[in-house]
Amino acid sequence: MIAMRCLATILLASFICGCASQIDPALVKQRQLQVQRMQTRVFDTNDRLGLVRGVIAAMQDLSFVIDNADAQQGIITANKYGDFPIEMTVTVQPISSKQILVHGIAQYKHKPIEDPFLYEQFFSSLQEYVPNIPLSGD
Amino acid sequence: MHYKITIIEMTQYILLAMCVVVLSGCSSIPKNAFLLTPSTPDDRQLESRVFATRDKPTLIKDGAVILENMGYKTDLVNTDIGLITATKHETDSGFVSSIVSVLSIGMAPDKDKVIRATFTIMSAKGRQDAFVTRLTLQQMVLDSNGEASSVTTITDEDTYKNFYERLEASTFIEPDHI
Repeated sequence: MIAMRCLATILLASFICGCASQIDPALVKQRQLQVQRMQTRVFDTNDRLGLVRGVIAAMQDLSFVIDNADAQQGIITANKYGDFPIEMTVTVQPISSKQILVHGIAQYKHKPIEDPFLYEQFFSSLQEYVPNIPLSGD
Repeated sequence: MHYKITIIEMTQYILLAMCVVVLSGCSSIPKNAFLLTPSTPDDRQLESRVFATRDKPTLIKDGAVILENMGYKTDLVNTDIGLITATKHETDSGFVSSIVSVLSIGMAPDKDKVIRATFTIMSAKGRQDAFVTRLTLQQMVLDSNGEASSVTTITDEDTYKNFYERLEASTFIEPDHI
């Protein structure tokens, strides 16, 4: 009897959790834009290789294991292991002759991390290695 | 049979439900996951050297050869970026293996452990005539699926010293500490 009640309680709680997905699509889109913004920085430079090197150096500081780095495509993939394993992919792509966009996506348990603080820390480490490359708008 | 729910039982159910709700949403990573640790500057110093040369291809080539001689299998070499990654199974014989074996006394047999080497070359800050090299050695413990379950950065000074002594002998350039 008690087991049945516990099961019913768990099912009810799971149902309540599931209800959270009924969100306004406009809010979802706004949230996606916010996430994309925190994952992105634009640098006023055409030094793509310099940024790729900076990304790798920052990842080394943050104890990531570099899995792959493609200078031509500007893609770096890395993993951080331990209690909280994180997969990270960073792309370094020119958006004009004078600007390069760096986009980092970190995943935990195959789900994108949406904590702005973590991305700020990553980009802060990156900027330490590319002191001569200014952020756009600075 | 009629069963009455007491206030205590009701409270227990509510607490149980709250626990389920909390547990279903708390799988987030800690805030300090991307934070530099206090040992980061020391690690950087241990792992890095400054070579007064503009010959990056030679540093890359010699670095790769030395890692191969130390028992590593090269995974990736990119001269444009200045990056080598290499892997070594800890059961292989060699200097690094010996050091790591000494460090891991009392641990389980090491056939499921690998050491991952990342060697990078960057221009030295404010210098046109030098490169900063950095070798990071990470010991990975693999689970039964071959996936890394944990990683420890090797901080043994002699291991890095050995690599850089070989690189110095190979390039004929005495490196400086950063």
